[in-house]
Amino acid sequence: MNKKTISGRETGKSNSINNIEKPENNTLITAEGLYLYYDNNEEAALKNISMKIEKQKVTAFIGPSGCGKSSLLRCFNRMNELSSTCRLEGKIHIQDQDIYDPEVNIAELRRNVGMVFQKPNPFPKSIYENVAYGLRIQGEKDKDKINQIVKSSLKAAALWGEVKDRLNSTAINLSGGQQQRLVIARAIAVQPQVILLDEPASALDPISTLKIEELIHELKKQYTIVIVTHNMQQAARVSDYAAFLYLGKLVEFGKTNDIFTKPRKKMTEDYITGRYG
Amino acid sequence: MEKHISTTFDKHLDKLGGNTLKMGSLLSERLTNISQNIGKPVDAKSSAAFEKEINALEVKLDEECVRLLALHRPAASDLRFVISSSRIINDLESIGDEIARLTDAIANMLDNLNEKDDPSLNDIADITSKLAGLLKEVLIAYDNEDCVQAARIILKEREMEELFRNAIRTRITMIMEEARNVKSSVHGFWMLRSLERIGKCTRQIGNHILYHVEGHDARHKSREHLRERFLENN
Amino acid sequence: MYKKTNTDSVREEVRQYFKEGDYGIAIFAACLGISLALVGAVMLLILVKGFAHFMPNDLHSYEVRLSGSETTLKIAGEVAARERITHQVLIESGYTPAVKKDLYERILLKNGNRELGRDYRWILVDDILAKEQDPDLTLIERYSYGNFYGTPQSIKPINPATEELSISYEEGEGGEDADRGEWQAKLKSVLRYNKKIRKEMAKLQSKKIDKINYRLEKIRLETNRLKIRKEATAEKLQELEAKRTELYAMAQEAEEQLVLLDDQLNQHELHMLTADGTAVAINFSQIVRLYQSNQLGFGGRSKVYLARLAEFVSGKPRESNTEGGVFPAILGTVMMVLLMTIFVMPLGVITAFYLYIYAKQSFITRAIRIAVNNLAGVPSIVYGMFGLGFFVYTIGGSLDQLFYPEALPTPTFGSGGILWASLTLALLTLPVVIVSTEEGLTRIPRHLPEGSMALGATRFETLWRISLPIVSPSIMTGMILAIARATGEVAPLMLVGVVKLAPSLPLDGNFPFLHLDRKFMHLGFHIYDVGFQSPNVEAARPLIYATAALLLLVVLMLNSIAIIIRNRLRESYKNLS
Repeated sequence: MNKKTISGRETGKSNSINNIEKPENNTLITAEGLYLYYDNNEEAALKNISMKIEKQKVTAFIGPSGCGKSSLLRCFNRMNELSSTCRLEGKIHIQDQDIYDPEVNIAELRRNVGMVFQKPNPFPKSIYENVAYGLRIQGEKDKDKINQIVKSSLKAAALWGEVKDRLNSTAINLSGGQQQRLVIARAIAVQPQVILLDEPASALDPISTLKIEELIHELKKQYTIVIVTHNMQQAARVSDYAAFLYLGKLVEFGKTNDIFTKPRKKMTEDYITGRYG
Repeated sequence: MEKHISTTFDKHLDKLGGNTLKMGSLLSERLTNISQNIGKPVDAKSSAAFEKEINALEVKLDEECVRLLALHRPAASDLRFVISSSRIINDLESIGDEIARLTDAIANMLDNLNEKDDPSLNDIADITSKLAGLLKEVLIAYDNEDCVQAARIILKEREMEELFRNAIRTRITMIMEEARNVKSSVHGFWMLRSLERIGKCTRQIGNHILYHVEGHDARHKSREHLRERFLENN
Repeated sequence: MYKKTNTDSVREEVRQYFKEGDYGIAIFAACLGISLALVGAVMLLILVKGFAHFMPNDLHSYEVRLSGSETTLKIAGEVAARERITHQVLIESGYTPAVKKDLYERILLKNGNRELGRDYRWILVDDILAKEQDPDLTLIERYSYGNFYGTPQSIKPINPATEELSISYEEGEGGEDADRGEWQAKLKSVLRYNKKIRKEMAKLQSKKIDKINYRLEKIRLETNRLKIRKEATAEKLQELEAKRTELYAMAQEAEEQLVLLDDQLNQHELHMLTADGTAVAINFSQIVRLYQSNQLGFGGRSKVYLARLAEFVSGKPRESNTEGGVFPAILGTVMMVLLMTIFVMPLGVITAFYLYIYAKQSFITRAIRIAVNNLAGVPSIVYGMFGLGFFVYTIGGSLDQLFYPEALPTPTFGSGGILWASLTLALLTLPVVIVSTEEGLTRIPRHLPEGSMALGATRFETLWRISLPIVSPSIMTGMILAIARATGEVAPLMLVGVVKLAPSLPLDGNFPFLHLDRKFMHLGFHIYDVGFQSPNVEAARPLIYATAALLLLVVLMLNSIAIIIRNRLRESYKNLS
């Protein structure tokens, strides 16, 4: 089902035959020659990674554990810097803004690039306060505005119907799937451009996983989504583009459709078909 | 190709491939048999048993394909292998049907033939034996995942058009020469039609092999395209 | 068929028992049992001995043969202790028993009447010729000279000029009910009247005289200050002088009132007869309470018990701490612990946060962590030395030089006080708070602060809004441990501000209400002082138990409050994986 987005561009699965590339206009994130070191003496965790991530598409990072896909994801909102020994070479631009420019306000960057983690991590506060957290951090005082954003974010995260009667009860008592959707609502509340999902469904049951996937489909109408996942079927289901990383290198990056039916590299083939040992 | 981490997956894939080959080789043997014994009376019983066996194999192999898709969720080359095998099975089944029709036509023709009439089945025997050879080759290509061979077979099959055209022309001439030849010639047409179908299915199998190995859909593409893509570099 | 003998089956059972491996459980259970029994024994001993002290005992009068003679003595009192003693020890202590035995039983009789002689006396059971439980025997608790035991004679007005008649206590059978009733009524009315007067006097003392004295002291210091700063203009001095004169006048007035009230206390005296027949007149102003415990039923005794307990908890100490209450010590202990908590909690928590969140995890951080852990093992007296040397002499001395030169040479902060004591204990308990806070921080799931940071929160915002609330139960645990340790410490306090008897409380009605420079009393030190420094060890012994029980209850109370708060906090985060 193809729907028109705000920008009027056609979304939905692109047909490989008649899709004419217009890469310049649609690129949101550009990575160029990325090297990431966690420790000066250690080998690089990411090696020479260059890629372009399209606006309002879902891009999936796949690869075996320790291949650097989470590290790459965390480069986009500079979460890697939380470990003090980490060092990055290369450039990442989000809409022509070099995010590793020393002038950049990290808090602002992280507001623009929201992140959802593997384990649902609602704060031990009420559902309402969880969603309002980002706004409160920004110093928003207007109660009506907060109320309205909380409501719209919960609606966007497909959680409003389930929690509207208990906004003030603690978020810890929600189910895993609800918690993860709450966390997504929390990320949406600060109105980011990009949402990074770090294995968002790996701790959830299949039904909750499907709900999250459905949510991703809805969200890509407004947000650019980058998702890291172990589950290849999930990557195939939700993403428009897929990148296969192996030992810190970007092995293959292309349309999900192509990656999953006729990958160009043998390494990708072996990983996708379950031959990687 | 390397083994999968999951051994049952490998086992199921091997079984599917093996059974497809078995079905194919049954068919090619049958074709060879027909070409060698053409003009002799047809054993209706064995023909019926053969058809039954082929149908049973088709049902079984279809099930195997569905099981593979459901249990192992194959991707990339595995997915293409399963999909192309499933299509090959379909084509093999069609070949089986056509073989049955061919034998029926031969039997009908022999039943209504006078002693001194020349059945003139030599050209048909020739085509049948050629097709049997092609089918055998295509099965070997399938087994070896050899797309060059597959492309060659497709082209060879296309080149058989000439043979068909000649056979048809011969029968038209026979009808024009003598009206009582009409009956046997019509039976000949039926045989040729079945054989052409068999040829087309064999060609399709070649295409499926190309899809399996390269992920390239060569159906409805010109011969030049095939030559360019698969043969010229080799 | 082979039949097992008895020994075989026993051996088999034993083997089976060990094979199942359950003997481990028995050992564990035994260890737990021993621990529980020890704790229980401590609590039971202290609580029972401590709180039994306030129950009125039966009073007895004895006729006793004196050591090494045939003369007898009549004596009355209550049994304080009982023991067995060998002949040898008895002889060595200079006592000649009438009968020779290997083992003697003797009782310690509290016979009071200290103005007449010894107030405790050992009596050999063999030397008791007669024993009587006289219902008329009366125990009088007095403000000085301790208890008095005897039989009442009469209540007489002190001033012979009054027309008031004396009322006598008709003893023996046939005493008319009316007379006894009149006696009771008189006794009650005098006691109640005295109580009222005392209350007024106390009110006068605290509301007026203390305040006036405090202000006078302030004026004196103010005058000194002006002189030191050379700002003492005649005008200002005059002003102060005028104030002083005014206050003096007020003080004099108050003193006069006090004297008047005191006179009103001295209106009646109680004539008593001791067991050996000596007549003693006791001024009513000296009487705390009196009762005839032999006549009291359970209700009466309970009443006396509660009154004595209330006095102990809320009263001031008398007779060099061996009588009266321990209220100043309770207040001192609680105040000191609360102050210590106020000092140590922010310091410890902030330190732990810095160590865990901000500091680079390097060799130095590890060294600091090890040092902090080891500080917890330093003997407390060392902290006391540090407190004395650093806080009291160095900082306190400097503070005095800078801010309180007018009071010198009398030190203000330059000698031990509740501020220095609580700071010293804060230092002592700091490692506990740091360690438990850090422990709590390590247990915060890493993805929670990350989630906050990913929303654009800074480290501090994350710490304040996420980590601190989650770690609060651990902080409370640290506080509980700190309080438990601080309440029990005595040794360092002796160096930095605890005294045997504090003249004024660290918290009172004079501005600024909380006086951090004052010395204070402490339950722990009180135990030590009463138990080992008291001139009257026998009299003090029950008080040690009572004070210890009180200390236990204070610890229990402070901890319970902290535990309740912690459990509330924990409840909010219990589902946090």
